[in-house]
Amino acid sequence: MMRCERTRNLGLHALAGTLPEADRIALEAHLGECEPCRDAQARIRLFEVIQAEEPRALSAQKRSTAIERALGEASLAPAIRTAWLGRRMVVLAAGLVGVALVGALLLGRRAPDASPRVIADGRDVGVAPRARGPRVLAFGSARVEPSADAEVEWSAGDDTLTLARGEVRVSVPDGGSSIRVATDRFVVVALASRFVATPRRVAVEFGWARIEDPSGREIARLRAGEEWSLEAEPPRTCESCGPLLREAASKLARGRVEEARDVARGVLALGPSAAQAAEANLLLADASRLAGDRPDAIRRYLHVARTFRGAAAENALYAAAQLETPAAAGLLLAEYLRKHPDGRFAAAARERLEGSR
Amino acid sequence: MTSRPAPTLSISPGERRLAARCRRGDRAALGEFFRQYSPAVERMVGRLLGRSPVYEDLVQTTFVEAIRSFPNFRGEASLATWVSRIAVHVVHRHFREKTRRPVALEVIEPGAEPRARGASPPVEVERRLLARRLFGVLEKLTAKKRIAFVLHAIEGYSVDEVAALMGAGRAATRSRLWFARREIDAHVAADPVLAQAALEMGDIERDES
Repeated sequence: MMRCERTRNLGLHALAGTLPEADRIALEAHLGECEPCRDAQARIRLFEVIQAEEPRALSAQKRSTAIERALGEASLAPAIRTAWLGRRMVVLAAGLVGVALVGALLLGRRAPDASPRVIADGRDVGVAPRARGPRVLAFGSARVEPSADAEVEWSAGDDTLTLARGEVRVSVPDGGSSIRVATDRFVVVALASRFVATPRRVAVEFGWARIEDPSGREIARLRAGEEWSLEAEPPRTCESCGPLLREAASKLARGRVEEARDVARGVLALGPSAAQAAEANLLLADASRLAGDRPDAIRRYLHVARTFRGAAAENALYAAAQLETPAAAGLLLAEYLRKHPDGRFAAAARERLEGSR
Repeated sequence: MTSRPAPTLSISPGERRLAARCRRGDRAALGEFFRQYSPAVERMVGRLLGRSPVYEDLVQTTFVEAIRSFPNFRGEASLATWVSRIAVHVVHRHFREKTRRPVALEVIEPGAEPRARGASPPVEVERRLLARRLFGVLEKLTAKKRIAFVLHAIEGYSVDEVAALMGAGRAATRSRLWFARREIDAHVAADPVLAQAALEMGDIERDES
């Protein structure tokens, strides 16, 4: 039996092509006299089918796209955007924009802004003006159709599409991936559904969707044909959250990290407003930083930066950049400057970016 | 077996210069690095992953991780080995997370539909179905065993190379391969289609000999 076990292991190395000649002879000798081992060897050799498959490779265009996307996270240089979109689309876009500008000049009025603005993973990819029919963005099986005035930002890390303005129609087929559409006041979580969302309203056309506040608490659950809007929802208030947040900040300032965490988590459990939830999450990130857990702090800062709006989001993004490695910090600083060109850390961010070049 | 590039463990002076520029965040150098090593990354991710819609996503994730990791590159291995190790790590993390990773955002041109492929010959179809079934067997293994098996048995890396790529010891790698082989054998034997295919393969060999 021991001999059989050893032989079967040799069979694996034979499949790999790493078997020394002496072992190969021993293997063949054993296989000649042992039927169970012969069968086992035939079973492992089935994997030659996978060996024989041509290894996957990206087409030249997709390879270029993948490289440019990765590089694009390092800066938002126009040349990168050009490459990402592909020359044809840029030529088409440039042509259409040129025609629109000339037309506007001739007519003496400003060219209408007829393209949704799309940011993917921190990089402005833009979308050329519509040539014909609706323009659809896709990830996995989900389809997102932004209105012409829409401004959306896709974050692959947390499957979230942030809608700053305009309208999106989202379709997630049965068996497809789930998607989160976040506005500054609520988040739509959908699976196997089709819905239309604006920063104030959600209408489900098919399936169902859940509406959550930014802290993850469910506000409403909608079925096909149902609609929900912020107007119908009384603004969330939490009177005790303000004092508790101050208490958490005070504990953190005194180095009582665990106590500060408990209080901040308590605030989140009380159903805070969006601003309070942002503040509580920011304190949890600060606590991780003070505790020396850098990866967790970065993850939490980025969560705040990409889920919430306002000062907390701005502070969080810059804080994450300060903790990241120089190369990754460059990406975050570029994102900071794009989102907050006149922000309180803009000058420092520009200085750091310049210094790193 | 389709040949893979031979692993080089030492770093050349040219690679060292390129790495130094990449470490400083030099975009031109990073572009050069990716263009040079992208095929190796694509191959590695593709082999480990099999047919998966997240293939492109994981290739790109490997690039992004490489950008982030350059400050930690100490030149102890060649750039090809280093970036392959990152690819292995990215795929390993993907297996372990057991969650769907979103495919990167893309713009679909209006009217653009997936092109219908021409009908494949029956033998080719059978081969593909068999390959898919075999990948199904691999999916039943734990992430570490699956990766070790694919790197060794499919890609032909030696045990030491697999250990280096996975950041594991030699003994642990041998153990993973041993268990992977046993589990795979049991799964294949229990699958009527694969068991029949193995029998036919055995018959062909007997006839040939």
